[in-house]
Amino acid sequence: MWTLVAVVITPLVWALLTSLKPDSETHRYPPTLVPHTFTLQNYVQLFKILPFATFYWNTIEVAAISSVLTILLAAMAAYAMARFRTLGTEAAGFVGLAAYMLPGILLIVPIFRIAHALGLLNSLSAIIGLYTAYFLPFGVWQLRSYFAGIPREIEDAAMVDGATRFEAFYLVVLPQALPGLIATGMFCFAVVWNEYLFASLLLYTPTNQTLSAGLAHVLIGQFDLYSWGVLMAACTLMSVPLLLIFMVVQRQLVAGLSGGSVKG
Amino acid sequence: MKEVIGPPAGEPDVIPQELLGKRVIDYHPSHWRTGAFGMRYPRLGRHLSDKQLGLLMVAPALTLMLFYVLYPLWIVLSSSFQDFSTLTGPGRWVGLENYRWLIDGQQFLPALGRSVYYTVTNVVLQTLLGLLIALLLNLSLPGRNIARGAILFPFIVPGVVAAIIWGYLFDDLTGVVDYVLLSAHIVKEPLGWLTSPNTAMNTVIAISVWKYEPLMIILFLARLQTVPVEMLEAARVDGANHLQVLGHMILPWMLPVMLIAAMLRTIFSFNEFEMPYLLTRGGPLDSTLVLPVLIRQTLIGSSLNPGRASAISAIMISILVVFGVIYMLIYRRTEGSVEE
Repeated sequence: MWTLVAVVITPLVWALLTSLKPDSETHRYPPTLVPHTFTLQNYVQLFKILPFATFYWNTIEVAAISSVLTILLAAMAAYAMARFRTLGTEAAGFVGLAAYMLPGILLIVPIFRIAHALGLLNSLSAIIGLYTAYFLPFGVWQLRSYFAGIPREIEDAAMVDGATRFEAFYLVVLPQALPGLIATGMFCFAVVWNEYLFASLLLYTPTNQTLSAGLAHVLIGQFDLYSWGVLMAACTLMSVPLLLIFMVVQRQLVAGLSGGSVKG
Repeated sequence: MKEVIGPPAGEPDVIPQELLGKRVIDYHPSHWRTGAFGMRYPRLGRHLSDKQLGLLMVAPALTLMLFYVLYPLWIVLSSSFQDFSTLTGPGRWVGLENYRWLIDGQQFLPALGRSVYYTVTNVVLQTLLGLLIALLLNLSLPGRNIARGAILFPFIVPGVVAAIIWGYLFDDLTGVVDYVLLSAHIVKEPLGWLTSPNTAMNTVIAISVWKYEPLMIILFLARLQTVPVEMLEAARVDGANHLQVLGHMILPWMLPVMLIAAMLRTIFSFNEFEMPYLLTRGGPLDSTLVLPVLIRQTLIGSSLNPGRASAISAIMISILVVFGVIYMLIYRRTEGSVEE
């Protein structure tokens, strides 16, 4: 079992160690596993050579805003779908399913052309809207089961006490579902943080790029960067928030994934 | 929350005859409510029936999805019958011209073949490996939970990061994989994993398996944990050995989940863009040019042709629909046995 674990995570550990090596050691042959001299030089270089701070901030902004929006809209839609059956909720269910099944790559032609027609190429707000729409079905899926698990009696009691249906929703049901909202939000945050396809399609100047798009451009060679150490430092810094999020929501994540919502 | 049924404080104690049996909300005179920070808030949704409220609550989500998903879906289908002189300019109708290019051209059919190879290999490897690893992680070994957590790492790491790291490990000059194989005398010269047309495809598949395997393991482990233990005990008491228990009881138990998971992974792998594109961008010599990468290349890569890119997308959408329906059918049939 430990052999297996070693095989699986060695590449990641190797990347971390490489980020701590000076360049001279990265190019040494034979390669060294554990750095002979530890250095943070690569991390310093990273912020000097690349607009890494900008990438980072853009990613935080995009991921935070779109996951909050996703949660807000998904919570309302999920509640309506869990409690009322009308033409609207049925339609939302159908559109949501279609959106959920459709891989983004199949829509890049219209999305690129629409974004261009609206003058939204290279704009962070357009991509926030796109992410929100694209991850809404996931949010609705997750939250619906949360709402279904909250007994109707609580709402009924609130309404008997004089609350309107909507008040019952945001004063009584939402607080009850808070753990679910947070977990779903964090998961959306993580997925947006990773998203590459749309980011690389719509964002093309470094000042407007997210980490995914920015680092991919480094990989493809848009910047003159020849140091693996610096790249590994970038990889490490990009992965750290995800590992933190993962530790917090591990249980819900695993439950959600095995619940059938398996969208890579 | 008080549970008194009747008018709120401050209201007359006697409920008017004509209002008996109606909800408090129906005759509550106040349009305001005192809430957090002792402030007064408007009573939202006071005039709405449940039906109207439901509609209002799904409306924002529905609008956003219609605009970003369903409308583009319509555009992509209609664009596939058009020819565009520029990347962003208007198109003119050309009927099946783009589809004819797909069949006659030198790019689409080979890419389709690569996609099929990529998908089948990926799914078979992921399913079998996933089963083995899940069985291994299901044994009661010390440190099992840590191992289960660690095994998920490849899935958590962003695709871009995975591509950069593996690009480094498989690098021709500084790559560690080549170094290890060379010094163990398994190979005589660097293999050029991602730079040789002979090996690139399989290398990309291996990396993709590494990246997405955790999803399979999670699904399989969840299912393994519901195996009826008494049955296994009974079989052992009756003298069945480990292999017999595995073959006759555990495997049949796992089969529905394996089928569903394999279907999901098929749909996903066939449409997977990120890893093939980031690792090799379709090269070397088009050896890893799968359909998703071809779509992007046709749109904003070597040729700028939205019509043809749409035609490829449209074909992939129809394949997706077919597989989606098959998936639904399998899911319905196995639902009874998989429901957790």
